[in-house]
Amino acid sequence: MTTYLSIIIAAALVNNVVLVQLLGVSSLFLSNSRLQNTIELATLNFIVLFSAAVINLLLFRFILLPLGLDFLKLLFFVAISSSITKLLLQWLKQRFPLSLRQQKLAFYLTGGNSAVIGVSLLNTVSHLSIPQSIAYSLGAALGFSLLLVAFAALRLRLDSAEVPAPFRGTAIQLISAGIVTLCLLGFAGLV
Amino acid sequence: MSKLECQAEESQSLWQNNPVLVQLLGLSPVLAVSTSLVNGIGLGIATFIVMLLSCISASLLKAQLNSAWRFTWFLLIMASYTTALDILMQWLYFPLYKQLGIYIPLICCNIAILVRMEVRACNSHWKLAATDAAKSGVAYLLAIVLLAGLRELIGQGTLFSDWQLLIPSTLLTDISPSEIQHDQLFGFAKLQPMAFILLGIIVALKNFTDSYFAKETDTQLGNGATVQRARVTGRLKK
Repeated sequence: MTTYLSIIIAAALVNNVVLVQLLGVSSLFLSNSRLQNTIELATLNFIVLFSAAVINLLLFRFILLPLGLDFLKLLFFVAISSSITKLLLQWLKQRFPLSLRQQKLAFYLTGGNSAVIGVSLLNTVSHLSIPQSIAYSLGAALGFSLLLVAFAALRLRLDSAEVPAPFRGTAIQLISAGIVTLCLLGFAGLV
Repeated sequence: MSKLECQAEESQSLWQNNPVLVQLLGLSPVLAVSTSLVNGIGLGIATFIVMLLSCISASLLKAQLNSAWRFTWFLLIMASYTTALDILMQWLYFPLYKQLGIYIPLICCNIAILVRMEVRACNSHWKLAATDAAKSGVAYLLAIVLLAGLRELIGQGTLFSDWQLLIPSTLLTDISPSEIQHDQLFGFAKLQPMAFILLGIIVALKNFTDSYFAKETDTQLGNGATVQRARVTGRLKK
């Protein structure tokens, strides 16, 4: 049990997908600055990342690897993750007409998210067993959505701060992302 | 239409509307791989090739693509080209491929390419789509080379070391990266936080120079550009 817990914590904090492994960084800066919308997007990302990573892992270990088709893994991973995103967004559109008003942007940020494919690819080369890899995917998804929400809150603060003119907008966001990364590197050695 | 697409719709110029420095698209490979100039150039050229080919394909296949599921088709087109490129690079540039690692397969979900395909490629002639993609790809390459050169210079004190990695392995027999340990000038520049901070400083410098030149052109124009005022309230003439 402790190994699983440590894998989850390591994936969520120590080797955070976004800021330490640098996968799917664009989502941090492109998501809407309203906290409500970002929480919706983070939930969507969590579901897509976790389910796509698990499905891709099982597909790779049980079908592609025995058949010797592992060089085609990228095509399968992309097809699965983008179809999950598309189906989920269609379902959301029918059930909750008000949520995720910017469907297109949501698709850009989840379908074209390199974190989803990146976690699946990392799972194919890791030495973990299947349940451990599932725990790793859960931790990675947690870390991703946690950081998405935290960064949206940070940007709300930055909007009202007094910043020198050339640094306004994206520059100060990038620099503060660097400082957040510095904090996350401090977790090294925790697990 | 979202803000993202409005920005992308504007005329694609290399500096004023750079996909990385202004729109912050496709940042993850830029930040992760830019530890040395050779890596940056390798990844930049690979991204350029995939962007050009997939935009042309999307433009040629635009009649066949199902409009509701077109994002999936776009991603599949990108993934096919990336797989081919991945295998080619393993054959010709194996040492460089090992250094770039996971970021070569990850070209297939680069959001900068996806935006280009959605905004321009899927509704225009293939020649237009090709020039647009080429411009955008060169702008991406420019940004990644700028950051990678700066990081290598600060981190290692060298520029363009291990250049032999960019030569195909069929031409040279020994192209493994040199074993000589370079003096670490400021090794922290090679870690992730410095990547974000340096990119932020580059963006700020760009903002500063842009506003400086905008002011200069304003003063050169002088006060000649007077605004015609129109009366919009009050009684209208019949």
